[in-house]
Amino acid sequence: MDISDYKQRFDQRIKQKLSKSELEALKVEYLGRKGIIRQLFSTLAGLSSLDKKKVGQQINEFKFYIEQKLSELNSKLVEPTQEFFDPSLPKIKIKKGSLHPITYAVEEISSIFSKISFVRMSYNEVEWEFYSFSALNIPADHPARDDVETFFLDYPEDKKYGHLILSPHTSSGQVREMLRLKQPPVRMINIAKCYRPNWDTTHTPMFHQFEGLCIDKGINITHLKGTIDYFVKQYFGENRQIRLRPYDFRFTEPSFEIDISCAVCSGTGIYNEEKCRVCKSGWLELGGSGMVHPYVLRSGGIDPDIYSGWAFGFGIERVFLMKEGLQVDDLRVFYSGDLRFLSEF
Amino acid sequence: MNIKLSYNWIQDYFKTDLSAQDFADRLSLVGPSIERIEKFSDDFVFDIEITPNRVDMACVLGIAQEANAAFSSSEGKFFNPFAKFNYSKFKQGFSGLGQNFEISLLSDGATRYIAVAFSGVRVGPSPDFIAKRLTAVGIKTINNIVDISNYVMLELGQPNHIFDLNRIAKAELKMKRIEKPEKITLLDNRTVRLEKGDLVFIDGDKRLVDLCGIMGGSLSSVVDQTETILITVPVYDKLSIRRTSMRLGIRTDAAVLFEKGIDEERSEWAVKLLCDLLSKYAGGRPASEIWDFYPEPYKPIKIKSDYQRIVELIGVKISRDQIKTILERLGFAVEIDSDKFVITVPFYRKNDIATVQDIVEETARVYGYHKLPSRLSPFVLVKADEKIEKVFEYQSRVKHLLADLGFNEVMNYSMTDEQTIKKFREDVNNYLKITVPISKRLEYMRQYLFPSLFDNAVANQGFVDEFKLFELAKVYFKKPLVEELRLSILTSADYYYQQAVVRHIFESFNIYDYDFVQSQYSFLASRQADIIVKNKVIGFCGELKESLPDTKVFSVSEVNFEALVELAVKIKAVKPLPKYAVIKFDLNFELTDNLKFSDIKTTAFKHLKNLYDLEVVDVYKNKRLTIRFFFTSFDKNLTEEFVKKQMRKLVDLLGVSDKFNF
Ligand SMILES: [Zn+2]
Repeated sequence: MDISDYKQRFDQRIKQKLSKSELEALKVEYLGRKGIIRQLFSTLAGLSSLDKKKVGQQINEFKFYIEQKLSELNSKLVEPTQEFFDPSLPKIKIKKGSLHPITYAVEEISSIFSKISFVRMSYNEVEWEFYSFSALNIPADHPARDDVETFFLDYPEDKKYGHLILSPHTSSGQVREMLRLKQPPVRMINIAKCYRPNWDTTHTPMFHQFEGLCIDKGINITHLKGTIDYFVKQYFGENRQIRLRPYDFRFTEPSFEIDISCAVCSGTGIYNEEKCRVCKSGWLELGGSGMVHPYVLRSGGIDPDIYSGWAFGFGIERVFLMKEGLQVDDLRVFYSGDLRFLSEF
Repeated sequence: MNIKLSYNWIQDYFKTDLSAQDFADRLSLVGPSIERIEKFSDDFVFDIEITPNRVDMACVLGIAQEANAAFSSSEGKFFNPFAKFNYSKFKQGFSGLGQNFEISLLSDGATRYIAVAFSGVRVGPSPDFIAKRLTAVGIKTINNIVDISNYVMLELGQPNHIFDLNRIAKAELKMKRIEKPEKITLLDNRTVRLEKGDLVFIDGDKRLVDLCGIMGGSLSSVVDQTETILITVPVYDKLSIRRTSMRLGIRTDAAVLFEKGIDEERSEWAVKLLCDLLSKYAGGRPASEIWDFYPEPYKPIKIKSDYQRIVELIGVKISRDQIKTILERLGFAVEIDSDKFVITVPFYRKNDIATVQDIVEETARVYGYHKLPSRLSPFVLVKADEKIEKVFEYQSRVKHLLADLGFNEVMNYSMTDEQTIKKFREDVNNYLKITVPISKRLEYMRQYLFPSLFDNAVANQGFVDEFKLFELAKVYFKKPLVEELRLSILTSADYYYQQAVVRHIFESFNIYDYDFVQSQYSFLASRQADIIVKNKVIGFCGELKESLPDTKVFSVSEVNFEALVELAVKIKAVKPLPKYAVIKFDLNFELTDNLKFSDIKTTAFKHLKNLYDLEVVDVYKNKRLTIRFFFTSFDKNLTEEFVKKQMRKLVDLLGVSDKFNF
């Protein structure tokens, strides 16, 4: 039999569909120790050296052909006995963690202000009345200093600094920052927990504020406006507008309430031909601000006839909800430790 | 405070064709904020927010005065019927009238008190325009007398009270402060308990007839048969009114106005308007002279300011004339001598205008805040506190690191309750306490974070099968008075997992010199340790004694985060990479009370030559372990024999050479 006959027969054999075991058997039949290739080589002994070389080469080519074909078939083989495999099966769970929403807001706010060279600071939450009130031009008989508006702590009163309280706002950091730097320029962003005795769906006894403070020569209302405008465009989006409305705070003069244009109705107050439910005629209240009161500058050892400054204090829970457009019916969920809520972030 | 006023009513003082919406929108940008407009038949009702410093605006006249500044003269015309009112002449008209009454006041109870008697009044319904305007702003009409009293309060912002003079025993009113708790029945028939310091009037029979500034008493109120009345226009001590009103929770319009501090001068206009309306619509006629207590009459306030300073603080060069016009339309008088301004404050602004900054506010708001340009504050370099800056940076890093490890960050209230403190065997007397807590649950300032995390786990039982929580927050100490930033972690896994997390944090902060040493905290189970870094205890780590039905063990750790950050290193000194072969040597140890892993590690690094690293490769029952030691030299290849020699030295030093044979 000629080698080409062997080849023809091999080709016939692999035309039919072969299982893995059949393929194994075929491999043994041709390439095994007693296989056809071995037998073919053994026939070489009787040939002349010239033919030996020629036929030997043909057998080698045939052997290579078989190996190639078998490996091809093997790789095409679909294994019916193989273990079931569903690549979409989520067999192993890697627990996803979460950060508190306030953390995200704090990080973003700090970064926005660090770009314009504002220094982030942190001051005491357990604070003296002096820094939270007296130094800020809030006299002893002011309603904010009632124990229904501020948490007082059971601690001996200090002659100079008054009672110990939980700071009701981040503004206590204003005078502390002036005293730290000893003289302008001041560029501060103070982010802290604040406390007030209110506990309902729109108030939590603990909340977060961020306070901006800028003091220098020649600072005026336009700088306050420009800086808050910068923040609003960075944080809420390029197309948001701000407006200043007159307001009254003891530690600023003039004082402003800052509004930002509503994103839902694009500041028109009308959404889907109805009154926008989110805002008040196109505007949302952001928070309070103003030019630092001369009394406050003096408390921080700064001469109000030479220097001037602006300040603002905004609630972080508020800006976070405004930015994300989240509807949280009950603000208390922030501090409830409810993991169903927290793991959303 | 918020006040409701009718647009038609405002038109009595400020005549304009502006639509209610335009009027509201534009006025809100300049002065009082009109928060809502509601249509009421042919009228509109404004809901107006009045800031505490501008109680003078909490009335029809006040809003009209602001409108005068907010709008140009072509848009509306301001009319003040009292502009030329002469009070002393008005008073003379009452001279010789003989109705008797006697009033005595406390000098710290009122700064002004005007009273006058009217006789022959007929109690009946109010005229339509009064009834309609009051109804529009949500005030119930009672009768002409009571309605006129309310009407004058809304028109001029001056609370007033009308007594039935015949129901005041001996026609005597005596102001006093309550000494011991007493009851009074008010106009609306509710009986309230008064306490020491509350300001009241008693009559000639020592009966309580008025709760000053808050509500009249029922004993002396106007009734259907009333004929003779005593009209009173007081200005009470604002603190007394606030204290009593807040305590009783009776927040009448009068109380809210008084506690903000109304001015004394407008009382004169109020008396005039009361007399006019009562004569006209209640048929009354003056019966007594005008009794007026006014110990410290008003003296006009003048402010001197510099033009350059005003425009510098605004940031825009508004002309001198424009400033003058703006201030005059607000009721100020202005004299200009080149750059010097002398500004006379109108009496109704005496409580809120005192400095050049106030003048800046008045000018800028009327000029229009929207017309001011926006400028970024000039860039300067301000030195940050490096220590605080580093804490912020690592705070952010550790939060993200833990979240990436599958932890949930929680934020809990900084306050805790007595029960929790006691549960973790602490003494409440060492805790800062809130004097008037809003809830027993939030009474003491936390000194540990982990109890809150445990509470979180309890609250989330059933929603979560595996707990990995952390909180980074301050705790507050009383002795000494300090705040400390803490990181606390809770997991529903055992000690070793907790310790691994802590080590992971340390090592990611490039802190390697740490140790865990058996500790004795009473709230932790036996597997617990002090966390020591560079010979300082900076926290603890251990299994809680508390557990839950679904979770057999909770482990917690709590570290002083600032202390940790102080030790953190941004980029560690890089170990040179081995040049020659690294030889590994595994050794099995059995830990005992006298042979801790940290002993092996410390001794090995201290005494073995060419030790490059070591790691734990296997642990059996938390007691037997295999440690792999890595040796290398930077000069030459080490021999097997050299390494064995080092290892023999180690077991010798550890005193366990008898257990090894190599
Ligand atoms: Zn809207």
